[in-house]
Order: sequence, then C-alpha cells, then structure tokens
Amino acid sequence: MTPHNKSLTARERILARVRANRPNSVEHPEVPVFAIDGDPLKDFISHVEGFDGKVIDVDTRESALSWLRENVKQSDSSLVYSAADGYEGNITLDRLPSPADAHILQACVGDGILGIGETGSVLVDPETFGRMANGLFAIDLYLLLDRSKIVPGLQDAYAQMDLSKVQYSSLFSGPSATADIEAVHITGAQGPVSLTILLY
Amino acid sequence: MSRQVNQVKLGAEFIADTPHRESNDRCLWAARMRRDKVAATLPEWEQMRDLASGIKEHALSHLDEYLVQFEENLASRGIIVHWAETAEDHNDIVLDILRSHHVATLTKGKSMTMDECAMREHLESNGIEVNESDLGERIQQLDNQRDSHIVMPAIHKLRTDVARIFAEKLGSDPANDDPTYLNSVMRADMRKRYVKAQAGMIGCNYAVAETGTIVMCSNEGDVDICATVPPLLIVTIGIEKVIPKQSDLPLFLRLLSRSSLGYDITQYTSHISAPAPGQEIHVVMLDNGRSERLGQSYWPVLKCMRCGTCMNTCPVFRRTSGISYDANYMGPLGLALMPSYDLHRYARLPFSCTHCGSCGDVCPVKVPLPELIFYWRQVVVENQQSLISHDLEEGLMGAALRNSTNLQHAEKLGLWALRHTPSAIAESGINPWAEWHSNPVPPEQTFREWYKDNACHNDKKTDK
Ligand code: SF4
Repeated sequence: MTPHNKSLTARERILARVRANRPNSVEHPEVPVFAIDGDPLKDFISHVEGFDGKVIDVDTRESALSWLRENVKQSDSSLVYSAADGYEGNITLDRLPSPADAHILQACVGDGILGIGETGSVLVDPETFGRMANGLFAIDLYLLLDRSKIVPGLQDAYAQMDLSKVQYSSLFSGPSATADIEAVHITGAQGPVSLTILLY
Repeated sequence: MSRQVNQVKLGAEFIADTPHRESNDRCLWAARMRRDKVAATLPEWEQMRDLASGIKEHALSHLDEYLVQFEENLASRGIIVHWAETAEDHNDIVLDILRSHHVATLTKGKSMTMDECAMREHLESNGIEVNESDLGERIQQLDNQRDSHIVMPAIHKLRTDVARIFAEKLGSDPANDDPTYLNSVMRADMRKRYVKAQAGMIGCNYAVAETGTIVMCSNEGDVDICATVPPLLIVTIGIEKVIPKQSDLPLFLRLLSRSSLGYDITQYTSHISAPAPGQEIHVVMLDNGRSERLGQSYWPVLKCMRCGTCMNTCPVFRRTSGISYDANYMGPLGLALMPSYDLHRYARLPFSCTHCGSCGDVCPVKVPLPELIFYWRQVVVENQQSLISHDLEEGLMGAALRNSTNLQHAEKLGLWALRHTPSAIAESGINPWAEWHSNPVPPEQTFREWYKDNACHNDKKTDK
C-alpha cells in the first residue's frame, strides 16, 4: 500500500512510499583503493596542460612569489586580489563588499590545498581566494601549490578531505571551458580564462 | 489525453537535414570514441562499473535511511530542506521562496530535474526573470526549444544557428559564427546578469548522505558562480541522487566525465556542505514519481546518473537528435524512463531502438537499458498504446510465428509477394525502406527450400 494520506506532510508521505517500495536490500560493495601507475607529479603537470592550464615549476615558494611579482601586472585597470601569504594584490576585500563585486578583478592569487595527479585538479575553498567569487570571476587565476601535496588519484584526495567540515570546496581542473557549440573546445567560458599553477 | 510523440516522424525530419544530422552524429560519436580511449587506460574500468552499480543499488534499497541522514546533516548546518511530491509542488515551493525574498531576476545552472518540472516556464509566467547560465542551455532558452541532450543541450545545432539566435536575442554580429566569438558574447552578457542576480539556482549530481554534501560537476564555471555569488541559493535534488558515503564519491567521479565526454574530470567538481556567511540555502528534494518507480520492476532506471553516454552511442539518437524525442529525457534513457511519466504520450518511444545493446554496454552504472526498453514495449503492447501499424505487424507476426507450418506458408507467401509485386508499388511510399534503397532481386527459393535441397544433401554426404 503506497501512502498518499494527505494528513501527513509531503516529507512523511515521500519517505513512507520509499520505505514501502524499496527493493530487496543490496549490500554496499567493498570499494578497493585502485593504484594509479606513474609519477603523480608528472601526471599532474601533463593533466593540467591537457586542460589548457599552465604550470610554472620552481624550487621554492619564494621563487614562486617572485615569479608572481614579475609577471602579474597590477594597475588601476588590472585589479589583482591575493589571498596568498607573501604576495600583495592591489585590491582588498573591503573594496569588494559583495561577492558579485569580484567581476572587476583581472586576476586572483591563492594557495591550493592539494593537487591530484590523475586529473590535474587542485583543491580550493573560500579561504584560497578570500571568497569563492574572487576565484570564479577573475580572468586570470594563479594557484600556488606545494608539490609534496600532490596525491596520485581522486580516491587518495577524498581520503584526505572531510566534506562535512568544509562549507564549500572545489576541485579546479584547468580554466573554465565549454564545448557546447558543435563540440568545439573553447577555453575561458564563464569562469577564469587562464589558470597558472605555481609548483614549488 | 496527451498528444503522442511520434519520434519516427520527428526523427525523419532531422535525418533529411544532412548538415545538422552529420554534425550531431560527428560530435556525439567523437565523445563516444574519447570515452573508449580513456576507459581503456584504466584496467579497473569494468570493475568500477560493477561497483558503481552496486553502490547505487545499495543506496536505492536503503533510500529512506540515506534521505533522512542527508536531510539531518544539511539541517544541522542551517540549510533549509523542503520536500516536493510533484513537479507542481516543487514549482510552488520555489516560487514561494523567491517571492518571500522579493527576487525579480536569477541565474540558473543546468538541471534536468528542474526541467522535468518545467520550472523555468513556471517562474517566467510568474514574472521572474530566469537566465540560464550554461551556454548550451542558454542557446536553447533563447531559441525556445527543449534540450536535445542532457549534457550538451544544443549539440544538434550548427554554429550558424547560434549566430542567428545570438544576433536576434543578444545583438551580436549575425555574420560572425566563430564559436569563440559566440562564447565571448555569452560570457559578456552573463557577467551583467550575474551581477544583478538576486538568487542562484542549481541542480545536483550527487548528494552525499554521510557528510550532508551537495556535489556539482560542471565545466563552464557558471554553476559555481550561481552557487556562490547571489545571497540566496536554491538547489533541486531528485531523491535518487543520494549516495551513502564520501568514499563512494571518487568512484562515481572517475566514471562520470570519462563516460560522458571522454575527459578525466569536469573542470569544476564542487561540494557544498553549508551556507557561506550571509548566504541562505534551500534544498528541494523532488519525488515526482520516483518513490513509486522504486517499487516497480523497472526500478534500476533510478540508478541513472545522467551522464548522457547512452545518447552518445545510440545509432538512432545520433542520426535523429534528441529533439525528435520531444521529451525531457531522451535517447535510450528516455526510452527506458519517459513511459513511466506518461505512458500514452511516450508509447512509441520504446520502439525507436535497434536493440544493438550499445547503451547497456557503456552505461557507467549498468542501467539495464536494453531490457528496460524491451519491458516498455511489452507494457505498451499490453496496454494497447501502440501505433496501428505496430498492432498490425505484431498481429501478423504473431500468427506467422504461432507454429512452423504457419511460418513455412508465410515464407512462401512473402517470397511470392516479393517476386510478383510490381516495383511501382513495392518501391512506393508504402514501403519507407525503399525511399533510399532499391529492392534486391528476390531469390528463386526460400532459405528453407534451398537448405533442404543443398545443405541437407551435403550433411548426409559428410555424415558418412
Ligand atoms: S542510463 Fe546510464 S548511460 Fe544513460 S544517462 Fe543514465 S547513467 Fe548515463
């Protein structure tokens, strides 16, 4: 009998129907951790490049910061927000009172949390960019990443996360892209047009 | 009674349009080829399909428990959860939320679940401006046409079509059909809309019960903008999207984009577990028949994770386009699912299948699509929802196949008819096959007669 009793709430009725109709119990299968062959660092670099990202491979964090100072242009018409220690942008959050204000950013700089060899992804969260909108609206995105934080595969990455503890997080794999018109691949859809990862 | 969708007729119109047909086929087959290539790099691919199928079956067989766990986790972090039994309830809930926040304009990521509810149309008719943020979906919105594919909504269109639509609706250069230019038009237009949006709306790929996390997979960055920029976010989740644990998620992610587009991952794989400071999040859990489907023999269709791979591989879909199904879910998935929404309207869909089995071979969660399509054919015939011509065929075939004597007579009659029907009739409009082919010269004998005269004779010789 499937419950349609109107005196119950929609929630109760849905859950009661689900309970009444559930198929015979199936066990949750054991999922092994699949080994990822190859060198995670090399895989990471080749996947980032495969997704049209750029990798700058330097020895130390200080070298990565110097690279940013030399290469990221800052001016009144090129506003750069930085959440990374040791690199100053030319705009701060008090000039971006609401998330939507980030649409004026030319660039955003932040620290990636971890990298994944299998996919070339970098884990980020709102702290990475001061606010997620900064990392989504900026035209050019720069992520600093400690190479020791690169794990082989997605399973390894999720084993290190606790999604219940983080308000928002995301794996960024290359700059935004689309292939919605005749499947022509275009880099720079609605989020960042370029992504540079500074590995140290 | 709803109007019956005639996929054969709509498909024939698309087939007749060679440039569109060729482009649709080429784009989808390229995705299928990439899928094969990337799947072949993972020796565990087939094992992963089995595991993903097993996890989905486990989740569905304990769905009530996981739904409650998911809800409790969301609520504990301040996300407001609503439950909608029907599409209408869903739309009323969403409209109420938007009205209570005085929302006049919003941006919305692609969501088949919201489309299933015809939500955009409902909001627009109530004076709310809805801006689709996915490029393909926006093209379809501006063209006032359904999606033709669940992952690539405008893949049946040519760049010239998009140039015309953008010129008419967004004021771009009608002579410029370069996809890069068209993408830049979209980007510039959407930027203005994101800044004005008072709410964002998104769908969900996976709902992790253990952690209370909404997971979205996308490429353009638009979904994350919709989810994080406006102060109000509404997420629609079909109740079948729940997966048990965080550790299940990477298995599905490893399969999803590789299956669907042949890439290792989507550009953005994002997780929401709580509102940002100053943000309000509402989640609408949609039933709309799912809890009833769970109790039917075709419940494995609920394992579907909307990757679109079955569409990319289907020989009928690639030539006729998703538009010809006139349905929210199209291709093999549509054949296996839409009759459960409206048996009369979608009665013909299960017959738009060659039974090649390719969809079942590629589905990453092993939805038994060929079996389900066959199941719906039976249901349609039993409910007499079928076409007259199908009834006729089934009736004649039934009589011919009843016993071997009938079959022998039918074979002889068929051969006689082939040999003696004038080509003006045999190759006229009553035989759609002959539109593109000449009838072959009929043989002298039926195969049975030939076999009696030759093969049996030879068998006897070799038997000695
Ligand atoms: S039925 Fe399988 S292949 Fe088709 S969309 Fe669903 S998950 Fe993908």
